[in-house]
Amino acid sequence: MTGIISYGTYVPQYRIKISEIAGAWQKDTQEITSALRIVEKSVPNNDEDAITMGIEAGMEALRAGNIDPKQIQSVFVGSESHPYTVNPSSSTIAEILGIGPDYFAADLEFACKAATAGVGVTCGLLDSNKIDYGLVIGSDTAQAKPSDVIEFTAASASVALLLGKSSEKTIADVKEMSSFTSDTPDFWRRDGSRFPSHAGRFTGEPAYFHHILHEAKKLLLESKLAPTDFAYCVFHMPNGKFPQVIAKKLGFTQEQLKPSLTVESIGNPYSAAALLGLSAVLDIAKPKEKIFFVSYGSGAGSDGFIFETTKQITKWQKLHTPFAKKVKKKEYIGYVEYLKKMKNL
Amino acid sequence: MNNVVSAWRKTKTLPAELGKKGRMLVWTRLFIAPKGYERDVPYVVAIVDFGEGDRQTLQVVDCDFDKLHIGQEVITTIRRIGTVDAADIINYGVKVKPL
Amino acid sequence: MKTNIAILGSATTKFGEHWKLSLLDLAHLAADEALQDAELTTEDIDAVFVSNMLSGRLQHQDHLGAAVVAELGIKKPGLKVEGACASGGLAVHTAIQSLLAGTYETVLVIGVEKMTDFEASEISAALMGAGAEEERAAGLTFPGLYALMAKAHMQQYGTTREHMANVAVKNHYHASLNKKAQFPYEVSLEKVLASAKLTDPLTLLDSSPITDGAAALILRKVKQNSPKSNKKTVFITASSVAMDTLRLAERDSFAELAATQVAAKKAFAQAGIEHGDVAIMEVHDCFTIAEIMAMEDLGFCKKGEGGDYILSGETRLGGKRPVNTSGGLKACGHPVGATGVKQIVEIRDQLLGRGGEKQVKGAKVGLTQNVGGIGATVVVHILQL
Repeated sequence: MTGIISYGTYVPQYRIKISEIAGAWQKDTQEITSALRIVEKSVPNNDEDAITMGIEAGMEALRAGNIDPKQIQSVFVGSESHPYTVNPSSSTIAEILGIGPDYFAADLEFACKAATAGVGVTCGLLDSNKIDYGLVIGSDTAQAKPSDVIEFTAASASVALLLGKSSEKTIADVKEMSSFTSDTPDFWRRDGSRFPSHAGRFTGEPAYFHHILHEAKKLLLESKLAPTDFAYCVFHMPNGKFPQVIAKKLGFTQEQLKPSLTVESIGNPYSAAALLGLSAVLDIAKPKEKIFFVSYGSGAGSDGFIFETTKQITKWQKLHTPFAKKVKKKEYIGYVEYLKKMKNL
Repeated sequence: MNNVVSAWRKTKTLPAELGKKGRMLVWTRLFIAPKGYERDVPYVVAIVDFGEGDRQTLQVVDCDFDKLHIGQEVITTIRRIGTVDAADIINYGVKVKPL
Repeated sequence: MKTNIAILGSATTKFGEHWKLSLLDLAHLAADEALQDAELTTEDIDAVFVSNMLSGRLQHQDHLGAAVVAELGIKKPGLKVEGACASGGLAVHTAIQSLLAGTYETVLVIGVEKMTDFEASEISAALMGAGAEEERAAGLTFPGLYALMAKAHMQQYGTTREHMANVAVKNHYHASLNKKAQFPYEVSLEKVLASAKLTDPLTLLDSSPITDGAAALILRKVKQNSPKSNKKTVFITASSVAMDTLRLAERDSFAELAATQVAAKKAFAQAGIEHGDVAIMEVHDCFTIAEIMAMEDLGFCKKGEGGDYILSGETRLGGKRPVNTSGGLKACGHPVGATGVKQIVEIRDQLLGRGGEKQVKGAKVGLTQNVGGIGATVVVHILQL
């Protein structure tokens, strides 16, 4: 069955506290942290971008999966911060990882769901027996205009999923997948613009909540499963509050949601956000557990997946450094250093 | 203008440099940069011994300068090299970070 | 083989910022003065060797030999010799070989560099042309490369910041007595130590400056047993070149210039003299640590003791064997292509007793050491009265 064989994650080591950003603009930290439920976010070094971070996560996924890079037949990189407008991140990352040249590659863009779109496409290639192994990377150095409210959450990280269909190798199988899409421009960035724009409160109810809710209900209906059948649920995390609201609305408990809330420690790394939540869950899941997963990308759409872990996951976890341990290696920086690293100064 | 062909040739050498571990022999920190590196200041450069006669001069990133020591263990990481004009090809190359 | 190359004339321009003069103006000035000094005219010159590093990159002049002979109105061969900061020494070496081969009888060597038209970051990047591709990619500069060597020297031999700063203090003192120096004034140890950090551990005052300047020599092969004239003549009795790896990382030791050791050994053998005979030296102090290593690698003190040797005062004017009486690259200035030629001009002046306020009494034998990059090229010359 098609599933995840391995995954890798990368979080740059720098952090800025929300209080530090709030201080720069003389905003009330308490008010912001209670609204966004986030205390700090990850910041890339000034020589990092979606490509370099993608290489780090990709390398970890390939090594942990013990797959010869030459066996990879598709590479999709989802990002809203591809270093080039024209010239793919996917071919650069793949080449440096030793993949190719016999593979299918494309860069994807669909705001925060670009990488989960890649998971959907890769599942299609695997299910139709076109490929045996595919690599999907979500990688973002999310930009935010200084003083914009999303400056508190826009973060950087990358996740790589190695997908395949060898049942001896998968650590979590894809049991169900579907999508929900509509034309809803709640967040955008025009060609040539350095920073994205967003539609304020319009990003909430008609955008994030509407799409995730419909996709989640469809997934439950199609799978004939109830929230209680799942050990974990994972939703896109634009901040710490939204996934809690949607989980509650759908009937999931805080216990089911909590392990996936990577947003609380590093913020929202856009196309890596939901998959990073999934990886944090896979870090601790036991065999034969079901995971409910719905991403969200502005513009707007949601990709839903139901995963079920296999018995291979236990052995795999022993060889893998979990997200919880990785994020502990961090160095705090001030607002000026943050602007320097984000190339905004 | 950054030369695209030499950048392309350089990229072909990178797969062999991935995830290599080595030790720092000697290092310095630069406060004045040549053209193209002004945004990195201050930055650390070290001679790193990867064993078997493989020694390279590389930038050390994500490090606390005051904690570096002789024999410091490092691992390679692929990063952007310097800053180029917006119309130029981006240079990617090898740097190291402490393990 | 002991060479018998006579220096008939020599000159340098003032070193410093020449806002009103171009690269060719500087070359012309030095050439004219050297011809005057030799009491010769351009008609007497059979070939011109131009030493320069950066004319292609900075002045977009990649046909410098032709440009210089045209500027001087000499209708004879003109060629550029390039070896980074050792271009000067290398040009003199090349000129000598042409004389020894009998191709030419009298040649003009002009070292010239025009640097101050440009931003420091531009010059810093241009000078890294003398380094290796990997070092450029790492963002290294020459202050960075010499800082790595200084760190290695400190680690291995316990050399201190004070040892290094002391070199700058001494050379600034010498420069204070040299009207042609870029910085003809003294600096205190405290000032050197407190000056702006370029790298760890080198400061601005550990470093040679960005300089415009030119130097010229007129050389002729003199027949054996030629009748002695009344005029005192300085001969170049040894000219040796040695090379090392371009990349610092490849070397066995980062705290020495092996090429200096090899070039010195060859030069002493050629001239048939010993260390004790040398009364005066101009060495390549592009950074203070470089002079410390030069003392060791040339063999004037034990390896690792260069700092203390200089501190002893032996190499200060008035000491037993003054080093860099011109002020060195550090304080006289470092117009890259001119430096190796200027070193020879300074030693000749000293041997002829026309060193002015900085005159070393009774010097008969002098040595120059000119380094390209981090010692991938080293040229040593020995001059004798």
